[in-house]
Amino acid sequence: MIALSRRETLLGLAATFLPLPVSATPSEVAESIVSVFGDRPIAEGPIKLELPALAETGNSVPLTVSCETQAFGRVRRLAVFAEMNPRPMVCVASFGPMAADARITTNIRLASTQDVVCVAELEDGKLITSRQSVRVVVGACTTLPGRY
Amino acid sequence: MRNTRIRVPETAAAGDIVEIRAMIMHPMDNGFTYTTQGTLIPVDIVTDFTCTYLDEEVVHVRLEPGISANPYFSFRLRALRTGKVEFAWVDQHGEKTVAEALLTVK
Repeated sequence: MIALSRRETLLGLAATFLPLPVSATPSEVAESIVSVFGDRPIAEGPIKLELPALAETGNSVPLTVSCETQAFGRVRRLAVFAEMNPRPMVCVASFGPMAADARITTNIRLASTQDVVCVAELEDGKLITSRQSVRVVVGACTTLPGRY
Repeated sequence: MRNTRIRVPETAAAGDIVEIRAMIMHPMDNGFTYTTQGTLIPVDIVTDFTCTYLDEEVVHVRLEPGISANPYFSFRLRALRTGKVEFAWVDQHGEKTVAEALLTVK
């Protein structure tokens, strides 16, 4: 007979009830970055991702992405990826000649607690990236049926 | 044609940076949710959003299912002269929704 401690029993029970969340692997995230920008080197850069530290629902998480353009020149494109979403790509924004700055605000869906990654393509073709972690209480994929 | 809500300042001074806000009423079904009867809701999303000012592009966004229902975008443009700010959304079936506002530059 195997002696189970209370902790092991509780963990085992939790594992039976909680469905394993579907999520992308890091290689899928890398693939989707390559699918947008091509296979090019990426450096860390001063992109600012404004996310709440704790999101109560993953269905709608406010996100502001801005890129300090003073030192780097114009930003051509910004792409946002959520690493643990089943489909990591969230959106790709490209800025035209009339945009005042490389800054966009939107609401995104997040499947679970994770890092949100932003990759920006500068005018000279260089890629810079930045990330921000966010804690999600209820993920967008596990919520009850219903539209929010 | 879906309902949209846009907010563009009525007037601005030349050279001002003005904030534009745009939203379209769309469920953005991500293909991972079920109805109460247990059938999967297929993916139904808006795929493209474009904003133009004086017939030149301000921003173009390619949307994926990772964007929340009723996609909302806020961004900034530089006011140059009086002209139309136009918005266009295209969903995955090719249905186009447009909206426009006049920005008066003093």
